[in-house]
Amino acid sequence: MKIASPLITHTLFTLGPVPITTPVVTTWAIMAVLTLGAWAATRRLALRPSRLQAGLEVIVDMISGQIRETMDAPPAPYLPLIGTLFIFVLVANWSSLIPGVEPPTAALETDAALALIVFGATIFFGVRAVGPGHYLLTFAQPSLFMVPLNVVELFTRSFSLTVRLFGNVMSGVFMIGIVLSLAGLLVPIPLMALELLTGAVQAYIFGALAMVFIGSAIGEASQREAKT
Amino acid sequence: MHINWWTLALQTINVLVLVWLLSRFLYTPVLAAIAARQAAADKLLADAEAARVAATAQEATLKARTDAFAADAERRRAEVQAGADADRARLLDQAKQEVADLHKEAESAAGEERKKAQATLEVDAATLAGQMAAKLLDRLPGDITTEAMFRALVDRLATLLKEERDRLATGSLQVITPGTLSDQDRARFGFALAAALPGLTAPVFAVDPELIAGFELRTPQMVLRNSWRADLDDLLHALREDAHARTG
Amino acid sequence: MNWIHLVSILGAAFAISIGAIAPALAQGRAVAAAMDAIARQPEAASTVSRTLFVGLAMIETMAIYCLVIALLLLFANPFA
Repeated sequence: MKIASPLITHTLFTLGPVPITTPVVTTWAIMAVLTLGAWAATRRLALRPSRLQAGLEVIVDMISGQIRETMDAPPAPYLPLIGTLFIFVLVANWSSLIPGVEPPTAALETDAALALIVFGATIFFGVRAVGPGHYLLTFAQPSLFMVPLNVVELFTRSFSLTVRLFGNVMSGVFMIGIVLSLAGLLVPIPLMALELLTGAVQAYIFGALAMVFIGSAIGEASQREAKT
Repeated sequence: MHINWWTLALQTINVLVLVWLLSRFLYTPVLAAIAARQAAADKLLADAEAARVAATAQEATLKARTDAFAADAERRRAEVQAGADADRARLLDQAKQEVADLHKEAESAAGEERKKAQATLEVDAATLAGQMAAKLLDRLPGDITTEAMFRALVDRLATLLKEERDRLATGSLQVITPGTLSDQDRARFGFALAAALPGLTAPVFAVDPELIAGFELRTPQMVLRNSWRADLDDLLHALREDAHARTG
Repeated sequence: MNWIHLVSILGAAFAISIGAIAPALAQGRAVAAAMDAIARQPEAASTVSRTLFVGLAMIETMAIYCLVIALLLLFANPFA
């Protein structure tokens, strides 16, 4: 029995010099579904909410509340990024429910892209909060000896963010694939249910960690601002 | 293992585009809707608060008006009460007055009645006495009583003051008797009178059976009663005085 | 099947075994502490269990790291 490697992404076709892989196409599909769904749901928003509108408002309100609690800041500037990360990771993880679809988050490139965005957003919001000079000074907190550690941490936590999401989703897909090849019909269902739970928890953890990173960047900056 | 850098770049762009798309199509409208509902709720609360304040003010006004009405009603009631009291007192007084008047009137009417009855009684008594006296007199010869009464008249004349005698004498004297006197008697009595009343002109004789017995001298100025009728009247008068003195 | 393949398979099995034992102990401790906390404060059960789930997922990530290493050894061995 030959088991296919879960670490390889398949190129579907090439667009000029650009190879288009399966995760990219799946991501496009997810983007289209999310955007069309959001457009259709928010097309007719009323003061007296429908059931759908009430659900949307609950979701948005919940994410805003989480941002406010975790980052201790007004949620408006961070809501699009954090909310989109959470919703996209959740939908991508759960897309494994559709037969024949491999979740894009099971590919290392997608997770690396998400972590890269969080990395960039951390620096962007930190710089925006206090300016570039002050933001660089935060790496020397609490003392100058901490600078290498802080810089290394900046990269390692992005890397761990990538590998955590990738490992969890990929291992789930891999395990279900193995069990499916061994047993067939109904046996993988408990594993799929566990995969749903893991996917939701990982989406929440990804969003929460992004909040913590950005919050620590602007928090240190604002603490330093208050000190000076 | 190899990292497909094209895929990494595409996925990064994809996610950034998705961030923009969802921000455009999901978060902005939903947040706007939430803000609109918040604003509406705030407005509603403000309106409700304003309405409550207005209602409180109106209630206060109404209460003040009601109080004013109540005070007015109380005042009017007091006024009416006072008026009624005054009216009642006045009516009571009036009624009392009327009752007193009626009482007095009735009393006076009763007194009048009594007086009238008394008078009638007296008249009856006088008539009766007259008739009795006449009956008694009938048992005596007329001359005796006439003589006696004439002597009494002459005695009376003697007791009068001179002015009174003069007045009797100068007036056109009328001599009243109960029965018709004979000419002889008339002459005799005329002389006797002339003796008693100096300057007497010839008297005129007249008859009045009411006298029963005796003489009466009448002039336009004065009357000298000397008859049983006069005596009976005096007696009745004295009896009445006695009765009044006893009852009064 | 040269010796590098053999060592890779043994290394993968060793990595998975270590990656199963240590997170198992850690998760056991975490669950025990959470049960203790819930027994002490039943009204905080929802908060505690939410935090427990996140913590368990974090701990499980350690096992996942080991799994990734094992899969790298098996399917993407740079020396094979």
